[in-house]
Amino acid sequence: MSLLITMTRWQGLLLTSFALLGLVLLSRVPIKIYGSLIVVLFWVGLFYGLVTGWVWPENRAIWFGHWSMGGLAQAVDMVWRISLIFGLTRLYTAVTMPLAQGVGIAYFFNPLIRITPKAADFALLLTLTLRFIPLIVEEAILIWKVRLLKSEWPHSKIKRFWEIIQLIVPLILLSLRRAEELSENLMSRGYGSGNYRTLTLHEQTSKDRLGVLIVGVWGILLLVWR
Amino acid sequence: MKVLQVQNIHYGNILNGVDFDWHQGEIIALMGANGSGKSTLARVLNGLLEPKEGEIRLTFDDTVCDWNTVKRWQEIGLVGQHPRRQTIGATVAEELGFGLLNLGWDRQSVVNRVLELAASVGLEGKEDQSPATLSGGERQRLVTAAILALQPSFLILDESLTMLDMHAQANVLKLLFKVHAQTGQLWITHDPELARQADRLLVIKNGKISDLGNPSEAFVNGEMYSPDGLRKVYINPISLDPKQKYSQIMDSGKPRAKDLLEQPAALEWRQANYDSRLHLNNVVRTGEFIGIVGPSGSGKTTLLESAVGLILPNEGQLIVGGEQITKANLNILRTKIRLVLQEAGEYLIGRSVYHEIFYGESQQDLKIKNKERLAILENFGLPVSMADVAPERLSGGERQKVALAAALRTLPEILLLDEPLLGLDATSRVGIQTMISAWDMTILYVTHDLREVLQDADRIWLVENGNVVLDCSIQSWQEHQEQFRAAGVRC
Repeated sequence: MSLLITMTRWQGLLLTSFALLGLVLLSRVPIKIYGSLIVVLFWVGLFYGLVTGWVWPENRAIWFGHWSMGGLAQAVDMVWRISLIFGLTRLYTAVTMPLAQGVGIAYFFNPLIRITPKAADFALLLTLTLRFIPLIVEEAILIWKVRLLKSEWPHSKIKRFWEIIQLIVPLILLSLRRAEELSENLMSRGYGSGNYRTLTLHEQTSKDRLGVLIVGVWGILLLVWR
Repeated sequence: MKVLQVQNIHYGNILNGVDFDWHQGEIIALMGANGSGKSTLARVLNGLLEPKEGEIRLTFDDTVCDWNTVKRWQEIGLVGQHPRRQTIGATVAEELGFGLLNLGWDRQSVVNRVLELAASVGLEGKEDQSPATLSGGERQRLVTAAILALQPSFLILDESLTMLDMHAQANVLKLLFKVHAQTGQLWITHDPELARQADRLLVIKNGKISDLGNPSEAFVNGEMYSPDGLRKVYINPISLDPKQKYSQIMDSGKPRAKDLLEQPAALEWRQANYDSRLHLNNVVRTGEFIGIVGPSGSGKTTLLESAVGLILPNEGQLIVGGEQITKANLNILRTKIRLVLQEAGEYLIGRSVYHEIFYGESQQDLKIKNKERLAILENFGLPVSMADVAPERLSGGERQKVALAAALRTLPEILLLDEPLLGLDATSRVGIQTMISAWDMTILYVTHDLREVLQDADRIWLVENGNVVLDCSIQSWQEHQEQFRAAGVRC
């Protein structure tokens, strides 16, 4: 969908804007989650405004330039597209658990497994990575606590940097140990290359099918208006 | 009937000719000191490690099965100690179905079986949840059920019940006894009470197995035979007597219980509220030993973290030595208090034992390895020759001692211990318990086994749902025994 948003014309952008607005209202996610986006979009807007809006004659210095309406319109168009992509992504991540996202992506790899078993390995890698990261974060927090409890945290930036460097080695050792445990667990459950298939318990409902249909039509319209 | 014949197994210097037969439907308890090779043997049996010498044969009605045609991982399941480190699936359903899919089952059969399994282990309705959202007990049940789903003829539990409270352990045991008839089980444990429930007791020492037969006979009069190097811990009912034998206390120079009440407060929480996770309004007197018990996830560790300022109260106050603790004076707090985290031996960050103990000192100070400084190692039962050894090369008991030495080197006024005996063998437990008993300082000791602290504690706190729901003197603990048991505390 993001790819289509970068290609479509103003009609597609308008449709997507209304769709995003509708989804935001339907999801009932607090508006404040979009707060960080505004700052990012401000800087993106400033960047594109300057890059495309300020033009100057060839072989002249930059300060001999002027604002171009065409250039500014191009910047607005670009910021509009980026806002829609960012907004939809933010909403998606707000209403979908990271693991569900991983499983979802892995699910779409299922047809590829027939072509190559590497697709299954990649899908498993994806879900395992999503699970492994929180475990490593937990371990890193524990190591951090251990360090905090040992002695005063230095005030000097150089000493702080050195302290952090010293913590990297035990963290790497611990990560390797955890990764080894994980691989042993996989072997204990009989995992072999190319075996992985996602398991979802829910059958598709009429709501799911309606959702797929709406997204499909939406995508086709974006393609038509390109 | 299947039989696993383990014949003359050698693996490095760890296993030196292990021999035993293991029958389907038989529960064997395997005990031995830390580093004696129990986990290595489990891995060899499961096929994760290849023995250097010897053979493991699977026979079915006296006919030898060929490992090339039998899936070792399906015949011999392995469940480890840490619930949070064993899950593979993104969801409970995927965890339960992972092995079945690898067995080549079709999707619909896997879904049906997963729903059955989830219901059988009390996880119905949680199939779509991430295993990370489950409690430790639930996760261990999940992993055990996921392995049992493969219907292994043999199941190895490598200290799988160690980290669980009484209720969680009972639930997993229920699951295990349900499959007793069709599954041979090997329980690797340091807990003699658990071992008593097995059909046979094996002890591993110097890489060899001794068969002690029926565990009930092996533990004569509540004590285990000493030749196997396993000392008695909690077996003798005398160890359940509290320490308040006044004459002994007076002789040892420790203050009497009633004198403790006159001591100034070493640590005090005044209506302290921590993000609704913990609510405390308690006082710890100088020189007191407080045993903190409670079920898994009740907030015991969080309580210790609050005492050392890793978290600060949103409301109320934490007062240490008469001074209110804020972000600004946290460093004062941390010089007075030391916390030994759960499984502290796993998280040693110094590059050698010496560096670990003297962590935080300047490079110049670290170069001074005089007798006086090295004597600290000996005080904690560690040989001086160990000073330059990397922590990861030590046994579990040794690592725990290093963690304790590092915490006590700075002579803190208050010591906080979070399950310091977890996963340790009887010898290491006795060694560390003896050391703790000798320390004359304020101690807060977290455990889910009340028996660990009965001999030393002055008071017991029972923590449930982030509150100290019971604060009783050690003399009166038996009056509250039912309450402790109801909360999943072993006593």
